[in-house]
Amino acid sequence: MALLLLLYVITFFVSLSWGQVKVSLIWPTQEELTLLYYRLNRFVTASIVGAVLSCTALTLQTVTRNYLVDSGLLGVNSGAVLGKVLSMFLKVGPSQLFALAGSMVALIATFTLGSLGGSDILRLVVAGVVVNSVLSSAISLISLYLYTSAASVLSWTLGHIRTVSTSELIIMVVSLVLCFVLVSRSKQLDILTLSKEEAMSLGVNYRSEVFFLIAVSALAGSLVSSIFGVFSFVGVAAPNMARRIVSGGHLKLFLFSSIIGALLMAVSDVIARTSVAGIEIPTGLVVSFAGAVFYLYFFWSMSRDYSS
Amino acid sequence: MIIVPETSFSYNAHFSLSLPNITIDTFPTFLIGPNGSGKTTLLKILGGFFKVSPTVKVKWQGTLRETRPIYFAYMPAKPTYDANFTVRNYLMLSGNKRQLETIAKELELTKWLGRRMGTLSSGWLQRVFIARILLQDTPYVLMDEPTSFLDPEARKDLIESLSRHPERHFVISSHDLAFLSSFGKFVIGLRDGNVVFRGSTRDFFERGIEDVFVTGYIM
Repeated sequence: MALLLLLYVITFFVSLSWGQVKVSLIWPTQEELTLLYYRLNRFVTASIVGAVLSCTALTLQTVTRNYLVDSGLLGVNSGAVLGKVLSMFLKVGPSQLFALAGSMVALIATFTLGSLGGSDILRLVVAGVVVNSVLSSAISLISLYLYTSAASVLSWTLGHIRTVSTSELIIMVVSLVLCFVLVSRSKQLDILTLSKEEAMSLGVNYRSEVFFLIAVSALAGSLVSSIFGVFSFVGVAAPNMARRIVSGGHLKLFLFSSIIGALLMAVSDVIARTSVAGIEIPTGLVVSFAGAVFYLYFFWSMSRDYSS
Repeated sequence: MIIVPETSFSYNAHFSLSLPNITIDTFPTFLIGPNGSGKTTLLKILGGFFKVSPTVKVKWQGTLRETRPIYFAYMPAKPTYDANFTVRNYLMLSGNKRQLETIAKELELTKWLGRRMGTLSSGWLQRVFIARILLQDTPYVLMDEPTSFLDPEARKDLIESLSRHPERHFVISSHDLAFLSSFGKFVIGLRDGNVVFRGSTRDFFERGIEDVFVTGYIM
């Protein structure tokens, strides 16, 4: 824990001082102060995105009993991309609003399809796969034939961290609040690691609890992806790393996953900003690559004392 | 006391369970029958996980009430758990901090409390599941095939642990006749979705066994 926090604090200072231009943190000039403000904005943004994606993924992983899912499970990411692509194609904006609408439509479609002929988690997940697949083909169709720049669509699917406006910041705070709602259900999530009947006998109203948790986490995830695009991997990696470090309840897991997620995202953002002079690599690309390498190292180095 | 009304329950076209009026007042009660006879379904009906009409009634704090899952501790045939939880984390899910040390001591789990669930062997896991069930603060306990993965020695341990809690009302689904003969007092025999026997364990072995299992069943 202490090590993680230390790493996080180091990343904070590094992210402020490094960039295309080096800035001295002691006695900055007026110009440098402005630059520092933007870097701080990005650092906070990256951290929030990382934390939100980790918390939503952790929740969905517990509820579906599958450690490899993240907030894209129910189609919200492809919905957001489709919304964005449509707004570019129709040349109307703001594209964030379109993306948000797209992911909401995807979420509603998934829940509607998933509740046909009974409601259980498996139906919902299958519906999510279907919605994802249909939306992805729609995205490909538009980007291949209707919209000339497939590259900009591709870049959107990668996920960019950037400085945010006030209204975007409000949306991010909303997604953070949704995460706190998830954290407040830690006790219920702990019980949901048991079988359905055990959870019910311990007083959890299984169906409504599960659907509530899925809806809240998909919503929080869609808010993030409608602004920044799709970040793969961080949601899968962070909770799994947290599981290796701590054992037990979701309260602890939420804390550790969100710190790891924020750290991963903040570090990736620094790399994205600084590694190539003159241009910026999409943060989503860095986080997938760096995250995957780190994840692999993590599992190899810790596989001895833990097996399941 | 659990009172089952005359009713029937069906999943789909393939399986239905018809029930006569049954009053379960002697515990441990065993639901005995071959695979697919409806034991687990009946267990879930008793616990209110499956709804039937008219409803099952349970005596709870002196009065007869409509059954609800929270009146029971339920142990499924294959309990699920988070491999990452420590034994202590897992046991705490029953929300009974006060009794934890006592029950852990009773089942010789004390030195395992800090271990992660994913590192335990199946025999120890079974003990942990039993401990969680015993920790849950309800008089009624439903268990689905608790001996199916146990060797004879582990089964003996299980019977000893359960016997230490005569205050708990166990309803156990099983096809393990050795388990029944050493622990059961009342038997409900099921076959193909019908109740074919009700009576004491002794009666079951004297005259009920051939209605439940095929003739020539060797113990």
